[in-house]
Amino acid sequence: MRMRTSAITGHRLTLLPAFATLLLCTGVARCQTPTADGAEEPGVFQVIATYQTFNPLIPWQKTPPATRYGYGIDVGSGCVLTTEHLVRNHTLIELRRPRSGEKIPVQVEISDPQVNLALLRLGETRHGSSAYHPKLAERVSRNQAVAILQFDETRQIQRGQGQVLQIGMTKLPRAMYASLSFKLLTDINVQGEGAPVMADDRLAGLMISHEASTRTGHMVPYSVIAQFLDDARQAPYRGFAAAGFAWTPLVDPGKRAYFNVRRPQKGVLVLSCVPGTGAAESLRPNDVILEWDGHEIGNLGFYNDNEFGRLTLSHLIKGRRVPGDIVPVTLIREGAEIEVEVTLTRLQDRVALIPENVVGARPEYLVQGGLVIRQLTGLYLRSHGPKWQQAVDARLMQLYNTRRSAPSQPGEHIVILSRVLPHPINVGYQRFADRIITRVNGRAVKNMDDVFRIVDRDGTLEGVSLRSVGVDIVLATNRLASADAQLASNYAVPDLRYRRPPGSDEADRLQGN
Amino acid sequence: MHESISKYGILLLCLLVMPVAPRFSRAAQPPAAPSSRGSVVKIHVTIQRYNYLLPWQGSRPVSGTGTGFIIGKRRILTNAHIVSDARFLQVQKDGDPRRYRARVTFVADDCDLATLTVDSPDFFENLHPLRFAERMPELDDEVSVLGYPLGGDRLSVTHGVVSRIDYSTYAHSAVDQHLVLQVDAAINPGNSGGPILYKDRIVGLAFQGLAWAENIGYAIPLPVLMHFLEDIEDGAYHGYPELGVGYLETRNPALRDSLRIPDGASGVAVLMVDPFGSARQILREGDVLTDIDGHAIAADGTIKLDGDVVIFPEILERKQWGDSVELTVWRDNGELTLGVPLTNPYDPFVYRNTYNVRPRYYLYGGLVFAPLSRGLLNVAVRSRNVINTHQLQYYTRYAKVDRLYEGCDEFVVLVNRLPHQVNTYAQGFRNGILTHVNGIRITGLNDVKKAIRQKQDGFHVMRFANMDDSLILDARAAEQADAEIMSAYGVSSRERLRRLGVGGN
Repeated sequence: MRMRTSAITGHRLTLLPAFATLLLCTGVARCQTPTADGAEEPGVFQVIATYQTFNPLIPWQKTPPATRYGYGIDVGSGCVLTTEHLVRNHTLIELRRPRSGEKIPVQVEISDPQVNLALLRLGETRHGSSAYHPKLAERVSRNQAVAILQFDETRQIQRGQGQVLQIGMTKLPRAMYASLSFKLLTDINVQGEGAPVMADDRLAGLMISHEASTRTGHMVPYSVIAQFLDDARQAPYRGFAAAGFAWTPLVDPGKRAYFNVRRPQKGVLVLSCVPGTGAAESLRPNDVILEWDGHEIGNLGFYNDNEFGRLTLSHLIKGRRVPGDIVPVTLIREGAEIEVEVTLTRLQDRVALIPENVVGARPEYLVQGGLVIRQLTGLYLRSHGPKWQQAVDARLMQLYNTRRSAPSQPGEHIVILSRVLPHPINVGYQRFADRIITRVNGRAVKNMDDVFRIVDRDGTLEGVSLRSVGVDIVLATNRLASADAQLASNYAVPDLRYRRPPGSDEADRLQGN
Repeated sequence: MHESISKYGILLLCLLVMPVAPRFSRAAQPPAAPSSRGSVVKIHVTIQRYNYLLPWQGSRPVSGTGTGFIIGKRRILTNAHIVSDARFLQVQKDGDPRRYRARVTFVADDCDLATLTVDSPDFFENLHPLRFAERMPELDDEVSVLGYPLGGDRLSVTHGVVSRIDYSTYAHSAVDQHLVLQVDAAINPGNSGGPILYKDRIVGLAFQGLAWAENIGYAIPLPVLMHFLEDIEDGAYHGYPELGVGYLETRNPALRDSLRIPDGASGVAVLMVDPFGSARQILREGDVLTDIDGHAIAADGTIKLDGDVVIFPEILERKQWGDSVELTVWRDNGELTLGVPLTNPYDPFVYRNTYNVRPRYYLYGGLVFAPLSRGLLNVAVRSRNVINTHQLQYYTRYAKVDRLYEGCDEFVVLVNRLPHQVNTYAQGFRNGILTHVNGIRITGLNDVKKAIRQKQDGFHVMRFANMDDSLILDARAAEQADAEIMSAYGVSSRERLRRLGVGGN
């Protein structure tokens, strides 16, 4: 059993004092006690996550707290693995063992929405566990039988059977990221995300979604988990790699001839690159990628993975490499085949022109003179009701649909006048809503940082310029302080501004955002 | 006037499509005398809309009815929306089984009005034209509505009071705003074009309803009717002249200070000058309009007119094309008086609904290119699975505001694809706005043909606005495919490049 511990935590134990201490206290005692009926079982926990989000439209208000139930599994070193979505925006996370009513509070060690995984750290109450933590599976193939573990109504571990139907890079549910996932057919309804999936008593993955009507669901597989755990156990967390370009299949024979692609059935077309990434340095729109990191790329974007079979090339980046790696790429540029090297980075949502903010991070905002100034995000747009695409102003929709991931320069965002909270100081301006702010106090702004910097330097917000509006919106600065006090009290705004503390990399690291 | 800075919020449906259950009118009432009833005629119309996706053919002809009334000089006044795109038009008097062939003499899409005439000499015999009132009724004055709504064949009369007089968008053009008369009398499909009478005199013409409301019916009020009749006196309809400014009220003292409006003066600040409006090259952004034709403009944009408080564009509502308006403007710390001649140029970027104008298009390699229009936008928005509609919405709403029109005569859209081997992989470009063909900037539909015709071999490379991918067609293959595509899909002609109107009847 001791071997099981080292199989996952491995040689890095000594590098991590926090984990090592925990292990000293708990490492030997915890794994071996058999269950009540004598059989050993893997350490499955029920995860009870209370969460609360900021109102996406009114960023100083919080929505009513709610609770999600799911599962996690002991992965050793006093850590429990679960899904990022389960613990998203948590205010309290508690674990419950099988057959137990006791709720054990835990902390989130790290979470990454790009792969929907989170690591929880158990406190001192870890003693008394009767379960072992399973090794990670080494290989799970299509059509292989697996077991899904969850609690039944008597809080005992229930084993359902499942079969791997499909392996692919799919967009994660409740997220905007594509990641390697396995589609399973199950014989039970999976009651919560994070339910561990076992293959021959090894951890094959965690369920991230389940559809009761078709009895199918998706899991994050062991390979992603291994990568995540390896990374999580060695600070700083580096995250998953990205290159920073958009591509499209290249099937059209006419187009293939136009780009002078001779290799049959091979090659995808580069459409655009994200400024500031390795792709922007090495790739250009209209390049045709023939080989990526030693693998030939088919004209639909698939390559043949030794382990998983046919996968899209993004797995070569996200699943086989880490940020900072440099990979060789063969491509056709202006009709000639050339070799380039692309440096991989960690592409984070917040560098997009319009970040999605799927995790619901608190948006930065400034309320002065009733003008609510904030950054445009995908979450903000999608919060405009079920028909948000029609409800949202056409100009913002156009930007979101055509340029959201492509700032013209690094750091560029869309700053908007979200709305005006009516007050005598802003009479005449109250109908402005969802307008793009181009200038603050007469100076150009490209993100909220600029807004805060200008306002802090000038001491106050004097006025804003709006896109295509030929008259500046100006405020009576001498009355602003008293107006702000009244606004804060009238509209119950606890903070008239929220700015993410500078150097909040730690917070980013924890949120994986 | 139409709004340069656009407004949302009011959804109006034409009476022809208003989903309101029929209501039966009360028994005959005294206010409408027999003579006036005889002048209210039923209009039988068969219309055929254009097909914007298959522009070489029309859509299914449909028949309907509306109301009109005789106003003398062998003229029948009705709504433009009843007779727009009409292919066959007849009128019928109450209690008379004969239907007379009618034709449209004038049509005004911006205020939803039209005049018809009947060539048959005996039609107007023994008919007494309805007379216009001298002035508008007041709120709460009782009015009667005459017409031929659903629920029966004969003339119907309903009663109500004037509930409100206000500005509203005219649904027929979708962009124009004028005065409307709101009444609580039952106005149902088929009432459109019927007279609203106050003391037996015309004060309005029933024209639209509010979809989810009760007892709200709208009529085109007397001043708009008179404006139309005055406009056509010279034998042509010119339309309402537009000043073409978006403005911001200056009630905010800080704004007044920053605009340096002197004490005692007031006005509105110009936010945007419509590049196709009358005030282009005369007014500038940041100007403060303080007076219009001698009426002082208040900080909220209202003026006093005939003892009433109205928004200042009401002055424009009373002008005819070719008139001028005098504006006093506060600019650069000084006062200017500017005369603005009111003659609007042709504006391809206003995106009114158009009628009786066949859609232009150009077909190549199974790809149908057409200029962006409101008709096209409506089709795209209605069909759920069509991509890139957000872009068409942005371009129609913001063409002038965000200066997207610059360097363009019109926006050319890939509206449809007739599938054929040559264009199999072009589906992602549907509803894209074409910017370049073979490196040539596309400023209008004619450019597409020119750019394509210049190249016989190799590849046509088409670029679309805000799209990273290019559409690439093998030139020879596309050329050869055309005959096959046209025959397979029943395309009668590969192009209609010139603007062609078609008579209503």
